[in-house]
Amino acid sequence: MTGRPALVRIAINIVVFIALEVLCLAMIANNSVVQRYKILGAIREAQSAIWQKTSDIGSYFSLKKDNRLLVQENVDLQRQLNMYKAMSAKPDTAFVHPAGLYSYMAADIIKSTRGKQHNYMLIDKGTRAGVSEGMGVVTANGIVGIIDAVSDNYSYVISFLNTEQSVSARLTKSDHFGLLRWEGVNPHKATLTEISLNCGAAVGDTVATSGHSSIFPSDIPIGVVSKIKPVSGLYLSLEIDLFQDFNSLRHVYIVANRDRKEIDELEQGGER
Amino acid sequence: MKDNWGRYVFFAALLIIQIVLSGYVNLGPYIYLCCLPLIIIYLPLYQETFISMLIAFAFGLAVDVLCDGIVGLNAAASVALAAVRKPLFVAFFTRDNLERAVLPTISESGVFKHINFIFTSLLVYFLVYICLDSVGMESLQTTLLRLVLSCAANLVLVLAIDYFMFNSRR
Repeated sequence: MTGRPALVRIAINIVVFIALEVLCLAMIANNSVVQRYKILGAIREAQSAIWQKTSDIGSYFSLKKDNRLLVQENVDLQRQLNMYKAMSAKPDTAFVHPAGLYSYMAADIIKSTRGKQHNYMLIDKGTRAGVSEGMGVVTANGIVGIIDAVSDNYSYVISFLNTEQSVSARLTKSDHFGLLRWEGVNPHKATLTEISLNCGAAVGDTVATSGHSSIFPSDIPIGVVSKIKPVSGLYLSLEIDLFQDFNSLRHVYIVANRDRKEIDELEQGGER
Repeated sequence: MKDNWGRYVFFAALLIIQIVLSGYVNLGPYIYLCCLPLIIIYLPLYQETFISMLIAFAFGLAVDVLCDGIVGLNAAASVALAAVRKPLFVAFFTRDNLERAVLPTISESGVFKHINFIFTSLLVYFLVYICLDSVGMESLQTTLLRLVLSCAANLVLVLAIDYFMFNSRR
């Protein structure tokens, strides 16, 4: 037919077709009120859809930034909550630490293990950010672990999913406390031991941190009781379903006790 | 060249028939008689599609202006038909027919194929025309009824014109 390549011919046809149809639609809209209303309505709808999509794409690319802002906001709120807790716990005290006993710092997990008996994780905050050994690592869903070693920019955390790790926890209903330990089998379950027989524990009761250590603040929810078993007629052993899903863990908070050094020194002095 | 002149005289005659039909024949709200699809179907096949679209646009606009309708309706439908004319032709006839740039006669291609091709072309034309005319103001049943009745009535008209004028010219 002509010497033009097929692709160029198709492109020309498409351009001419669109141009002529747009011209026709413009003429129709110009000559009839009903058609004008409908055509302009369709154009506006298409515009809105395009704007919506553009906005969605923009939001998607700013998600990381938004997430960081939310995490920071969370840290601030946690700090405030901690302060109010300290104030309400000591209403008649002459002096209350203005920022509470504990401070929080957001961190991201850069490496973690889950399938071993002694699991660990690496987080992206180190001494430069004020992190030191012995600090706790938590999320809103429970405890994550304790910092064991620190470099300038990273910290090595011994995960709660470590058979040698135990934390002090209490039943929120009765305030009885014991030691919570992972048994090394199921990452969703842990065992609370040394609970006295008369504690009145029931399946479904919530377990939270006791606050009887200088690492974790009290009242961080950990899980719920799923099974109760007496041990040698003296104590109860409670199976706990953990709130924390270690498989989906990415963001954590490092929790620092401002008076830890003082408490530890006092403890060491007492032991001597 | 002579053949082309004859063709454009035939188109002019169809345009006059269209003006007469629009002015004096009223078959109700469901049937719109229109000779424009026939003009577009019989545009020279050797022409580039974009030239056929430009000619179809000119004819459509002429009908819109001369017949006192909504300006742009027939033009939009004509351009759409001109755009899909060659693919439709290849679908119903052979590529060999397209390369010879000849629309086969009923006796050459068979009544069934010929009617199918004309009906599908009319369907494309009236689909665009009726959709733009009603712009969602009519129910689906009414739109479909308009589409089917207009296509059927125009098929008869096109075949009649084809038989009386075009076949005698061939």
